[in-house]
Amino acid sequence: MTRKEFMGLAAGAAAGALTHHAGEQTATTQGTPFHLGITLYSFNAEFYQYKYSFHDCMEKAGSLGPGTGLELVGPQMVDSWPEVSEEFEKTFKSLAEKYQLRPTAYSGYADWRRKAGRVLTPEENAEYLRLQVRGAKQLGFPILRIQVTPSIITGTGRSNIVAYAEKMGVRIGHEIHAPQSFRQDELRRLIDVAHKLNSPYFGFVPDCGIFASSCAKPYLDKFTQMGVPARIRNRIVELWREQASPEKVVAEVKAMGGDHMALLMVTESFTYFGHEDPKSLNEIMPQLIHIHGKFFGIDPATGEEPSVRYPEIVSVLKAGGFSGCMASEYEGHHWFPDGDALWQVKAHHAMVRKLLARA
Amino acid sequence: MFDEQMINGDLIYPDDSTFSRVRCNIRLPWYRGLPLSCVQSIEVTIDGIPANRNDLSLTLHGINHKLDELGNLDEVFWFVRHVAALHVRTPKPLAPGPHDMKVVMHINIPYHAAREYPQVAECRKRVTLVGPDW
Repeated sequence: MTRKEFMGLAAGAAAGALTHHAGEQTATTQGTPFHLGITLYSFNAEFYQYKYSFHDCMEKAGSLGPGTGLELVGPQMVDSWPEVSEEFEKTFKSLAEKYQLRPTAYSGYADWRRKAGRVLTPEENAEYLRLQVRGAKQLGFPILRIQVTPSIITGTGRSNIVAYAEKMGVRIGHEIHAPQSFRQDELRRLIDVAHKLNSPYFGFVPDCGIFASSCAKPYLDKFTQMGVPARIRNRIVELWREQASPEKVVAEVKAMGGDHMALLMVTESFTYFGHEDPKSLNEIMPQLIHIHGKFFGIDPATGEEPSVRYPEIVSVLKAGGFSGCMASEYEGHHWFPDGDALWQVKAHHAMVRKLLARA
Repeated sequence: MFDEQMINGDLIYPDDSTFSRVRCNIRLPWYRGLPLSCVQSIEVTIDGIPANRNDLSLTLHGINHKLDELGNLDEVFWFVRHVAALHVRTPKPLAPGPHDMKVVMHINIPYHAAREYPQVAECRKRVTLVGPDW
């Protein structure tokens, strides 16, 4: 692909992302209805351990193919956070061009408790988020991913981030991540607000970990390695299947003599593996801005992610006409940091393409 | 997170010729950078002897901060690949050579308005204090 062709593709995708009509599919890599990308968070272990520089991360992302969507976590990769320095901007833009990467989403944070001893006021929070909206724009990202509260969507004046984002041409995406659930009041309120607002500048970024089918093998293996007894591990998994409340699981595990490692295993069962049905995406299809293709470890024998309901996810997204980006988010590194993250993401892309062809 | 890498490298250094104040290099034990105001406390034990909080300080980007000052530093960002220096004043001079060091860091992850999110990281390492002949 020539540079001119690539820039045309990127511009087309940016325009196409603002429409949600099933018929108007944007030209994407290898003819998929939604296009594939990567969040550099997938290279968390390599980046932290100095195995990959930022340049290496961008190069590896580029090896996924021309036009690959690129997402990064601001406070992970941007050393001038929460500002975007001219140095970072120039480095990022030249690497994105060199490796034919398509900036898709900038991951930010509200960081409500960054001042010790108190919670930010809504005005301080809005100020911090405006900085991140400007950062996204500066780097050429069309989307800022954050965790929102209703006040920044429906508030008046300077506390309304969506109004500011619209002015800047940046779309705000609220990430739906485990343990959030479509059955909880908080998320239902946000969905109502999104429906009423009906704006392309506010929507959702579901993390596919909410659609788990089981607790992932690397998670189970890690806690086995860390010495949590089999009877406690098995009971935690059983209680996960029953969708028992956190209070109930903690009480039982403590009664069984579980130590701090067992209790960590309980916490992680809630923060990584959700129980949502992929059909829930239909409720918010017009407000789907971006997807985090969360996965924990592709099984080399089958090419599948055994613990996340990808066949259903891909089928619902395809039928619903989602034409944004699914950014692969490898998270097996949390338990085993020496895995091959690039291999994992390549395998994830292959899996999703196969599912799309079948769907 | 990344606890085993919190003490960076195997060497610790004397801050002055008395060998009663030493420093080690430390990493932030989290996947993303945080403001220094999120570092709630750091505890250091050398050869089984715990240091007093008042005998500890942190240097980041060339500026030294007492632990009690960190709470105000929400504008100072500790990027996750940057290494800070942790200074420890010891009751007696330390001999150059091997020592057992333990560092425990308590951080407050700032994400949620509704609740606190504390994390504790612990790292134990056999380190070598660099002496005048090195």
